[in-house]
Amino acid sequence: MFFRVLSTECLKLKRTLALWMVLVSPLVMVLLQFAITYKRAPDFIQNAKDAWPPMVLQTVEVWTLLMMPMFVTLETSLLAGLENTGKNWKSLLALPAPRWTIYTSKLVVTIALLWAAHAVLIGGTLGSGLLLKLIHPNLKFGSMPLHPFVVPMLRVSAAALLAVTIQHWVSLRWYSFTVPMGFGMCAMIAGVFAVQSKAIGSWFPWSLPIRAVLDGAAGVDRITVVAVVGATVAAIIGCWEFVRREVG
Amino acid sequence: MPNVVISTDAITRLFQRKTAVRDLSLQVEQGSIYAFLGPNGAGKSTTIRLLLGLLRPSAGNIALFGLDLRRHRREILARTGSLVETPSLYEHLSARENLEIPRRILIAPRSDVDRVLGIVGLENVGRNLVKTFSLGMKQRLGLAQAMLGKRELLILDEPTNGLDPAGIQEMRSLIRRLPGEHGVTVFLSSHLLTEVEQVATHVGMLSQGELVFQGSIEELERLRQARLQIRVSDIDSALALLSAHGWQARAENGYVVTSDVQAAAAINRALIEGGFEVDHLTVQSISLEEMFLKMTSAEVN
Repeated sequence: MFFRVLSTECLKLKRTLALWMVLVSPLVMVLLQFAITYKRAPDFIQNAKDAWPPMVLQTVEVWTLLMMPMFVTLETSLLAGLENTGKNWKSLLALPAPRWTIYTSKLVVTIALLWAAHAVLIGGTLGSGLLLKLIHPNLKFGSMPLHPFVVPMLRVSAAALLAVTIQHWVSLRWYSFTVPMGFGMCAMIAGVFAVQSKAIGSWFPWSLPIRAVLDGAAGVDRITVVAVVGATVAAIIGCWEFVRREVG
Repeated sequence: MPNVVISTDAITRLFQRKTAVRDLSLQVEQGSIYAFLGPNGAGKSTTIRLLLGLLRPSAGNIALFGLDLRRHRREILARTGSLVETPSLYEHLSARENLEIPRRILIAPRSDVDRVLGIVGLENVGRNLVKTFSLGMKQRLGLAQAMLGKRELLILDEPTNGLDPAGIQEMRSLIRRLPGEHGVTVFLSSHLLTEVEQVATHVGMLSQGELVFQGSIEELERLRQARLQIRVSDIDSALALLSAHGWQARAENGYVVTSDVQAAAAINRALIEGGFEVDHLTVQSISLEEMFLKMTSAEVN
């Protein structure tokens, strides 16, 4: 039944802004980075510097610190809005599907959309580098930074799970669009401050992803464990609350 | 004895200090169109949410198809379609896609989408986006959703709400056909008395969360035949004759009036045989509206 419910959640994405955001959000980031690197191209050429490392590092940092939290907030709010705007909960929950399948399939869709956006970001950034190489043949591009790009993004993808799970619950708990939006924005700002302290930043859900980038560990470290275990616990608690919830 | 599809045993639902539904014992027979009648705020929507498991009763038990709702929720919901207030639709999807969502969960065959679109008369607009639909079309699509799969019971909350007169007629004619043509029992809530008169076979009247009447439309009809009005040549002698036969009657505005409506023919015969000229004999019914107000105000008082 879970996969049947999951397939209906995928069907609901058709023609939605939530789906377009998977392309638009990372490509805005890619475009911005392309413009910055293009403008700085004469410097790179003069100093014979490899253009990949600053491109990749800036992309990962800006995306993780600012764009991704906004993306998660918007995506979860838009996905919850599919049910909230049409007051669809009463008919959805009157269908013979276990409620946990509805809660978890919506969470899986949110995570899948985030990870798809990360794939677009990686692909778009590498593609924009190749385009710059064509425009500026003298611009030095070393070997394609697959490992230095993909590994941090995988760590970010895992470290974001706790914030995504909490934001998912908030979006489904309050039917208003403004509550999850306001919550997400406040959490993002708090995350920007919390990241400056390693002690707090390594625990605060919204600063875990950027801490994962800054700490630069290669494999599974404490941040990943905190995020994955925390997300599992948050998902179980959120699901428990959702299953027991009454629809008035 | 007909099978009972919905059976509630003294259910009560409290919202903090307010009692929305009190000791409600419903009995809905298979193949009936049961109109659940009550003014706004009487507890109709709360009852419907309780029947669908969206709310939990504070006390009492609910059984659908003879199964306890708490323990057999999924099995019951697979056999129960619902349309609660406005239809719940995804406006950015087509009518077919809106039906595809419950179809997948109900594990119904793909052909079922065409079947229900045909029943509600939307087969030609199945690929159109729902945001282009009128309210009447959305309501019909909501009904189509409720009929997907092997549904034996439809629970409809104010199904004609917000529809124009033509839409109301279409919806009512659709509901009337459901038991006969599709073997479905219908439980519908309404605050429209004309709706009850036109579509229902059974009625439950709710006032302030309590059931004040439950029975067939014929039983309701009998209750509405409130009194017999007779005009005779000599009122006092007629009253004496009726009293001698054991019928209680009184004089009122130049008429003999009795509440013994069932004995109309016997009273008429007795008067004629007693030598009276009977030039007027009518059964006076009170309107459903009057009766409803009488029942609900009696309850309030």
